[in-house]
Amino acid sequence: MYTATSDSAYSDTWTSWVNYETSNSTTSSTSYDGVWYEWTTNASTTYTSTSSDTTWTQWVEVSYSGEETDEGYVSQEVVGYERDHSNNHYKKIQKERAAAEIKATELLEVLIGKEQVEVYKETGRVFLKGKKFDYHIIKGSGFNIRKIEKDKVRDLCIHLRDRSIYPATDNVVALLLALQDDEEGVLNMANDHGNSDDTFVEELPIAAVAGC
Amino acid sequence: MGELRIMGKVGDTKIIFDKDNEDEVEAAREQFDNLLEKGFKAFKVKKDGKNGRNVKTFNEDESMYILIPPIVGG
Repeated sequence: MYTATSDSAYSDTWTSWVNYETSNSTTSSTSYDGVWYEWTTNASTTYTSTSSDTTWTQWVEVSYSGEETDEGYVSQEVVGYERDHSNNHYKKIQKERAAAEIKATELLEVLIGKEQVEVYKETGRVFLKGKKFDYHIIKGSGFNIRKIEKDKVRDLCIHLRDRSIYPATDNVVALLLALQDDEEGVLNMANDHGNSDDTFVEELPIAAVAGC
Repeated sequence: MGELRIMGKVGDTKIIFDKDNEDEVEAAREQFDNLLEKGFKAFKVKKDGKNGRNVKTFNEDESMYILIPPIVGG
């Protein structure tokens, strides 16, 4: 059974977890991101997230063999505690993130205006006419920028470092500012993931429009 | 009045300073410089949100700066 320990009761990121069946040995993160997506036991078995959420609220691996021991019974109690604790913690994080997202949207409004921010709330996209190309900056997408060329659309990946800890719209604000200031620098830094899907090329989705 | 909008985990933190108040200007400048040392980028933005430009130095006469954490390719 695996259960988690956190650096701090208020930290939203789990930094280590303990295998109670192997002498409390601890495995720690090697990722720079704030969210765990996989972890490895000391026995070299990897467990990968199957959740579509960005944050794990519970994770338990139970593999009892033979009769339940006193140690095993104690472990089950710990599982129950961790589930309750992490669910409450998750709700708190969700509330904080919703409030942060509202602030980030207000900041975006400073840049694109009230009317356009209403379009953004509906579409999650900001259109920017650049000097070389046009762009869609997309909220919460794996590909944060779509570069619109004459007859094709390319998926670019570029974002705030440790983006998972910031509101998704702050990522949009940051990329908008960066593109307006230094389009070439953004293009050089971004990873180009190739052509976007055909549907997108044929008809660009509606997006809020940012001025240059 | 000028303001720093500093991106963070809980949304941006707003620091408002009076350009005629030396203490407030100095506190804002110190915050600005500290964040740039940590890798943040500062963009001066007009009140209408137009013409955001990356800057390296603090000028108390600017109306607004937005400070963003480092950006990386993904």
